[in-house]
Amino acid sequence: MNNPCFKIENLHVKVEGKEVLKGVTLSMNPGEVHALMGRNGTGKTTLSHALMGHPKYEIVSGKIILNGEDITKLSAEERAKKRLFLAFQYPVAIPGVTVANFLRTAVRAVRGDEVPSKEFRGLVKKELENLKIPESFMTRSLNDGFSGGEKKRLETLQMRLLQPRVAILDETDSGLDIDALKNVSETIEAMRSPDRALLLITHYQRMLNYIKPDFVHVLLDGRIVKSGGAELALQLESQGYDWLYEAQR
Amino acid sequence: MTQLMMSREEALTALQTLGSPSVKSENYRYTSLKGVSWDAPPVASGVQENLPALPELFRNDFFALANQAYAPACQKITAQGLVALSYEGLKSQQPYYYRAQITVPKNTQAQIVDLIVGDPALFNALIVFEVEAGATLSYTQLQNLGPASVAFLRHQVILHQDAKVEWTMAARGAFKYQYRLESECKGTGSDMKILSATRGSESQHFDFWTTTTHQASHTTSSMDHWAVMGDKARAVFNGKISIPHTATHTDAYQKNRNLLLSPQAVIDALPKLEIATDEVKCAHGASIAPVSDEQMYYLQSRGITRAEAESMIVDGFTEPALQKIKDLTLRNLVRETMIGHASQETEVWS
Repeated sequence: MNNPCFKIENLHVKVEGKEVLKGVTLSMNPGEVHALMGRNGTGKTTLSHALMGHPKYEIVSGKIILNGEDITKLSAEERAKKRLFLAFQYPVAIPGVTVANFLRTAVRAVRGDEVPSKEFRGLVKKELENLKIPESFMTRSLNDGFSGGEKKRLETLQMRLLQPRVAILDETDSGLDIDALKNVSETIEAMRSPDRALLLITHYQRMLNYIKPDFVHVLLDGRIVKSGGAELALQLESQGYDWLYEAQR
Repeated sequence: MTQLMMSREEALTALQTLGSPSVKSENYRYTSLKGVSWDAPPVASGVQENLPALPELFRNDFFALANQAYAPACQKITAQGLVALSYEGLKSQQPYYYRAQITVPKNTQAQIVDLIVGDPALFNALIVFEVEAGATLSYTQLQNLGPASVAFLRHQVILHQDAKVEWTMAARGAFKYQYRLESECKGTGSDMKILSATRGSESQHFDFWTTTTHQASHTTSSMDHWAVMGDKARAVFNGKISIPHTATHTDAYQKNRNLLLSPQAVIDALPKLEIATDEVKCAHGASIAPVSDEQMYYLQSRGITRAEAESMIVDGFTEPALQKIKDLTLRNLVRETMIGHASQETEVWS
């Protein structure tokens, strides 16, 4: 049996004094893909930022274990260096910082050493082609004036370049048209590997048509209330979430 | 005092009558002159007895009058092609006065590079630029004076019919720097584009005092002023667009964006519009903000250290303004003055 590469143990998180996560527990083994679903406002994005180490999300109790190491008290920067990655739902724009400069700095930071220019360009060009991103992207300001789809492609590209051990993808499917969804999903699917675990946070089944999850979890009111296999996502697609709310009453 | 000439004695008398500005004076409310010395050396022999007329709008300006009293001569320059201003005789820890009259002749083009460096105790310059009909001027100022220098610059730019001016400034040096720019779109079809960026640290003080006056109809102007202040540095943006009733069909704007890097840094943004006619397009806006926590978190979530993330955000802040400089060499010079190195994109992706 595998040892989990990522464990969330009874996590309680407050945002601006209000408790949003009320005891989330989840365990992922290397090679697995998990999907976390739930309605708006149930705490999915709070969980993703708490896991990545956003300073505004206060972990009141519980633990986050990455590859056997407790990272609960580490900064976002330290978590990233331990190869935890979050694809943001709403990546921020940073005017004046070019995509190329940002990617090079990030790759150097996570790898811990300088990547020669030629190697860096080669790496990036390959991923740009895979994700059908024009090369002109590289000299644009980071996420500045990008469409929703462009932002999501760039998040995916970063994940490819940074090669995380655990990746959390927060609604990477939103803002994508049908062709882009297929392309981005296939790129994510190609990240499935025996030494990596993926957590897909989504509202919809549509991304899961391309990336078949091993487990599906439902977050409701700050807790995981139901876990199952890929069929659970299909059930949610056809029946909605009401039956789970009813079951909680 | 005649309209055409003003002797040194008359200027000295006017200086004494006016007295040094105090914080009670509107334009010095945010710029204290406490501790600033403007003693001039005795006027050397062989200097011009009289200087050209002090422009009317500077006659109540203490530092312009000081220039009239102490500048040894007025350099007359006819600018065509590339011109680099040179400040001969500038000495370390000494007061320095410079006066010039620059003309860009009708239907010609000139590019002026104004590199202001060194560590004089006081740098006082007054230059009148006359851009004649159909002429084009690109002016770039790179101010990187020493940390003990105090500088007061007065520039007047007169644009005649269809004259086009691109005015670019980067200010990084001096302990105290007050820059007054008076632009006058005097001729129909004239266009004044101003782009300035400044970055301060420690206890530096920058005061940008600009007025663009549209005297003729169908004139255009823009002013983009960007400031980044850290430590206990302070920046004042005192920018005015003036459109009298004669200047119908004017199109003008000024934008002022500021980034604060420390709780002790101060920005005073005072944009003003004076519009006396209806048929104009005129806008202004100012913003002051600290480094965004969300931007910091985003970069840190990619393993980038706090210090490096801040440096990336700060260096990038003025970049959208710099991208407006079409000439790449000039853009890199300005960037180098602002952030200490040239280009991002050419280093990483070329």
